Amino acid sequence: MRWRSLLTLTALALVVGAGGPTAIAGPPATTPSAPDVPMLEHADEVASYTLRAKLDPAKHTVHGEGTIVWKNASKRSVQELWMHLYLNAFKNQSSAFMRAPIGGFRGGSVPADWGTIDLKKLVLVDGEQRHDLLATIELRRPGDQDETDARVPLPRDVQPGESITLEVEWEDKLPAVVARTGYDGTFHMVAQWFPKIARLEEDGSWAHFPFHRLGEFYADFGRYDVTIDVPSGFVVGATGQVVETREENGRHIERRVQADVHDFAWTAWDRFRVRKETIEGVEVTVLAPPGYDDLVERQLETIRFALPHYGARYGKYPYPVLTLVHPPATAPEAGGMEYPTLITTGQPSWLPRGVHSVEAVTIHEFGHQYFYGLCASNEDAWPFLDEGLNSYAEAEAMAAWKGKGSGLDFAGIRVEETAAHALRARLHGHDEKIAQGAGSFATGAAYGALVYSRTATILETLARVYGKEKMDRALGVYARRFRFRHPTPNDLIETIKAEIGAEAAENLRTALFEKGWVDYAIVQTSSHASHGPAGIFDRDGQRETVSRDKTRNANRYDGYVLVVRRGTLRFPVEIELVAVDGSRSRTRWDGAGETFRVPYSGTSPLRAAVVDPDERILLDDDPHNDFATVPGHSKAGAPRVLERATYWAAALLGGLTP
Amino acid sequence: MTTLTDDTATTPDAEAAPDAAATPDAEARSDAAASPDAEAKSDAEAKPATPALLDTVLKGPDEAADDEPPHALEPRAIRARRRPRAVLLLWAWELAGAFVIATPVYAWARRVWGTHPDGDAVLFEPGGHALLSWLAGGDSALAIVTSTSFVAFATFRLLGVIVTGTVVAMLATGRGERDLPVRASAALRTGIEAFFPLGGVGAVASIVQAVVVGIGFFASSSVEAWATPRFGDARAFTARVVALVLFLAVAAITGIVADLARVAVARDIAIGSRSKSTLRHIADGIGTGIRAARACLGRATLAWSWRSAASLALLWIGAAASDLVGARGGAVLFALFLFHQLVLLVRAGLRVSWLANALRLVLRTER
Repeated sequence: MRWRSLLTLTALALVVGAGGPTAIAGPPATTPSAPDVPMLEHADEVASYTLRAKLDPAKHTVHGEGTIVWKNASKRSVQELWMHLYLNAFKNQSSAFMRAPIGGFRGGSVPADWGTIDLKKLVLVDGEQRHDLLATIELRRPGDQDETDARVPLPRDVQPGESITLEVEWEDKLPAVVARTGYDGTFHMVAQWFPKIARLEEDGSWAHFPFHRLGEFYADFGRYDVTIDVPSGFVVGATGQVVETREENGRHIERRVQADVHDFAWTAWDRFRVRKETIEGVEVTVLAPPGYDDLVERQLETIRFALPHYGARYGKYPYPVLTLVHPPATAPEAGGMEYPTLITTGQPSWLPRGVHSVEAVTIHEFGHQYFYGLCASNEDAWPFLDEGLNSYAEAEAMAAWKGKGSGLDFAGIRVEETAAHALRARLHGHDEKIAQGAGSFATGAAYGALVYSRTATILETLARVYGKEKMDRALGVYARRFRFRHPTPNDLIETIKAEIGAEAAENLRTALFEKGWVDYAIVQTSSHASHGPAGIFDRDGQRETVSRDKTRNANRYDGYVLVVRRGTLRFPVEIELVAVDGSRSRTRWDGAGETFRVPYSGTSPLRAAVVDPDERILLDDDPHNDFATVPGHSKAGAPRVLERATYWAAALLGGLTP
Repeated sequence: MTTLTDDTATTPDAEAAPDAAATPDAEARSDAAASPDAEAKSDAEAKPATPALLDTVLKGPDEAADDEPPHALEPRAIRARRRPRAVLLLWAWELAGAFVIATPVYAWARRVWGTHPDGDAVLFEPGGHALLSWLAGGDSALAIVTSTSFVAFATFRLLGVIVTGTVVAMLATGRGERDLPVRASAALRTGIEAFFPLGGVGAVASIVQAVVVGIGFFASSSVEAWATPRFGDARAFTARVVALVLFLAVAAITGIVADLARVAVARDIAIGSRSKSTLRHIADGIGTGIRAARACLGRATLAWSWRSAASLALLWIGAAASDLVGARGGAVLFALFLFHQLVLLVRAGLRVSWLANALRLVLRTER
């Protein structure tokens, strides 16, 4: 999901207004970043679903039935299944989702109408035998009312490599839209709607967890064959390719099939406007409310850029379809979410072109097709692996496309997405560690800032310090190598180590797991006329007093700058020295040790110094101590702020109109 | 010619009477004229004409005018271009206020970024890294700067009422045969005396505008709520904007009426109606403003609207110039400052021009 909070920054930025030449939009990347790394063409089919869903839009219910074929892909036999019934997160205020004291992020409110999923049938078909598993299912843990994580004891062990078939039937009552699922009038966003088997890890342990307010999902790949039955006149958008549609008894029925995915979501509304376009061989469908033509075009523009760009960076998009769903404005919580081959976007219909939030949310959710969809990491245990990497990928793509105004290019203000990420990363950098489970975060604000922004800022810092080409390749290798393979944090760190180096990998590990931080600061500066040593010297048996005036070199000046590195991260950094005559020189410090003294000698006095003048280390805790003016020299001051602020203050004082 | 004395009341009726005798002198004559009939007397019957003529002969027209008290101008003589000092006064006032308002944020920027070798230029670099870290980085100075600037802004807006009164006095009255500008001290005295009446008119207008805009927000959101299920949220939003714009137009017209009332009040005081109570001034001014609006709302709206459009366009041009200059400093920054001041000066001219227009409309209505 996308975290958005540029509005405040925009309002503040308007006070002074930033200027400069308009950023030029760039083309998508075309050269593959890691062409030599092979990718799996298909996922191992572990959990495959053949389902039928019938929507009653008046009651907001979905009747579901079908079969699940599940394979034990681990190395150990299993005696139980774990099944996620995530709609029960909205059943009552005793669910793990509802009782989490988390604010400041997604799904913060109690739904206006509750939601449930009730299993009606769960039968293990074992050859000629049929075992009713519903009788033994354990919906709750002792002392816990949550019903989102059900344990299903099996009548016999399932051996490694063996498959079983389950017959299921269930009844969904959709909640009023909350946390990216539910209804709003006749609009229905149907997600987490079927009983879904948790992922069995290779070692035989189940990665099962209740639906947490900040948590997302994790599942095995499989083939989904889903028939959706809605009233005629409803437009359906869903995961996968349409293989059959028909109208029957006042109902619209369509069947969708998609392999190599690990979830299935769909939407139905009788007011959707549909636009289709084939981009890079992918049939792209945009579903939006009436009156959103401009935003639909902007979303298609985004996908026209993103498909080739992400394809070059992280490997070709492997599916034949992609559906974008723009929910109605009255259901904003349905927006900004990713499912395999289906993403939901958002933003108001009147959004100015220079405010790139619709492009950003579209490209972010599309990016999840890679960092969530194809690299199906455990979103609950390691949310930074999908949201953090995806936020970096989003900022990288937006910068490649929109330049310096990638976040905002409006009213003369150009703000990069990376600037907003860096700011949020600093504000919460010391709160908690990034590499922890979604349910462990104390606040939604910290979760958003750390998982999304700080992770993106760490990766951006690595790219700026060690080289963007290396970072492009490293993530390209990671995305290709771990396509369909459920990577872990260690896989990411090892890839960074192999492609960028041990120092980068260590910085990444420290930043992710140990709240690693860094602050470079200039703590002392000095500049004076050059002179030799003065004082009393005993030379050749004689005592000589040398005055300072005699040793002075009128045409030379000496000085120094003392830089300190605080914190646990260590990056090489440049220090720029600026002389009174305007000349500039740079010195590189490898970041080893805690202090570094940069000597100065020149024909003009040293006036000022800057550490990290190119803003490579975006993780820097305090950018305001990265520079200093030598005492006794005039400061550059803030004349531009005075001029702009005076202009706008006078304008306001006079009133906007006569 | 006939002049006014400070303490002699000229009633609105008396002001309106000289339509038949359409000379500035006749319009202004009132020290002896306590009634509309007296107003209708010819110039020849005006007793103070002799000393004024003598002054003119002895001292020359301008010097003679120095000794004369101000007189009310006839509508066609009320022009912003004839009172450049009024424009300069308004511009200088706004510039002075702007400096005070801008000082806290300038001081803050100077403290944080002043020691950077490039100074605050980094704040204007595309990408916005320094700008965001400064404005949104959690520096507690932001709250102090904001509140200090707000207090300064509110103070200057309030004291600006005096400037408005002064400007209207400069526009509405003149000296000597050539209708030379009144003395600054006299105009300023009018501005000060008009402070409470003008403030009262402004308060009433602000309350009405707030109510109109409040109703507008409520009504427009109701329109949107009604339209959303019927036409979709995009079209419903358009309907909301249209509804809100209608109410904003009403609020703008309220502002126009308020300006008509303001100029009526300030002129009334400038030409000598100082015996009225503040409330009487407010009531009379609002009454005059409403009558003027009823008589010539179209002309007033047109006159205000084109000046508003020009004013906003100028602001936009000023912003575009900022954008063009970007982070550059030195001579380019100084040139930008001069250009911005030119923009503000022209805007002040538009404001004075509008007030002059409002004065003319009020006077014509009263006849």
